[in-house]
Amino acid sequence: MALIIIKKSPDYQVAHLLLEIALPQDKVIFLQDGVLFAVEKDVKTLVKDGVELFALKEDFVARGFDEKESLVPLISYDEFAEIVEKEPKIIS
Amino acid sequence: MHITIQTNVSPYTNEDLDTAIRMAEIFLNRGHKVSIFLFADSVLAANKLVKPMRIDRNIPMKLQELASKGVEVHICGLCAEYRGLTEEMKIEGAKFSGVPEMAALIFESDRYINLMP
Amino acid sequence: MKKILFAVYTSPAGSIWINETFRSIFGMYGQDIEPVALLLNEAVLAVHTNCKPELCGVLPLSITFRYIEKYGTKVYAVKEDLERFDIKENEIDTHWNLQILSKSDLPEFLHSFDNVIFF
Repeated sequence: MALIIIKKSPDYQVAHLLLEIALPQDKVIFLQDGVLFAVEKDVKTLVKDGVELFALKEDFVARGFDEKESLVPLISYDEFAEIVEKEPKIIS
Repeated sequence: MHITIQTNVSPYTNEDLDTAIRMAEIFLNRGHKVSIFLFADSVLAANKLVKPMRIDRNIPMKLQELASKGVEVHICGLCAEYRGLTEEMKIEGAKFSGVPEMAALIFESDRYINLMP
Repeated sequence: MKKILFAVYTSPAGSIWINETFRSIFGMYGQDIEPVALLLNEAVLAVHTNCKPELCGVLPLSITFRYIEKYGTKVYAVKEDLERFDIKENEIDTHWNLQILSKSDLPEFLHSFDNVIFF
């Protein structure tokens, strides 16, 4: 299990690579321009089954989106911290 | 838990320092020991002489405030020399270190978050 | 012993990150850390014998070779990225002591480290 942090937008190949390497039970958190993945219609097909996706709420709404537009669960910084506390292996 | 956040790109142009500061505040509030390692252009965030517009945030002062609350702020010394950041210019509470300290932080920290360039 | 992967995806001539990656890696040996390098995307350009970032004013890559040899640093590159830039095996500078990984090996490979740091 690993926590994968993606801060690059879907325009960056490296962001897609980070999604491709995610294994079941990994958690992926989108932050900064990475939150743009949260409005990509096929976002859930970019990862293997069993990979959990989250986006940082603050960075999402800062880009003009309404919370209900996100296709992945939005998390606060505190919830982000909770995930970090649980996952020793970080890929970022 | 000891959590380290490494930044690599310049403040004001990029969001990374803002992200790192937010993370540090949250981790600190949750009772963790927090370190920030400023690498490459991100060392510019430790220059106390920066003068942002009044409505904008003062990133070095925010880092200094974090340092006063116990956050270890490391500045890569070689990166700072490259960019002309001197002892007199750096914020209080931050210290010049280097790759050996980065290695120590990677080894000792329970969590190591890198904000990729 | 912590196993740390430094994965570089940025271009060798267009940015400082290959050199900064290896500078970081060589600093790790002072701790109980095994650092490993992975070159992917544009970073694989670095392994070509003709890659000379110094022509653009960037630091030469060759300054890393002495330490790669001294420490026996493991350096990997992604096969599909080498193919994308048409880098043949006989064009790879032997100083890198390069090992080639297939893209399909990456998920398991990246998860075999305690931490992965992207530059």
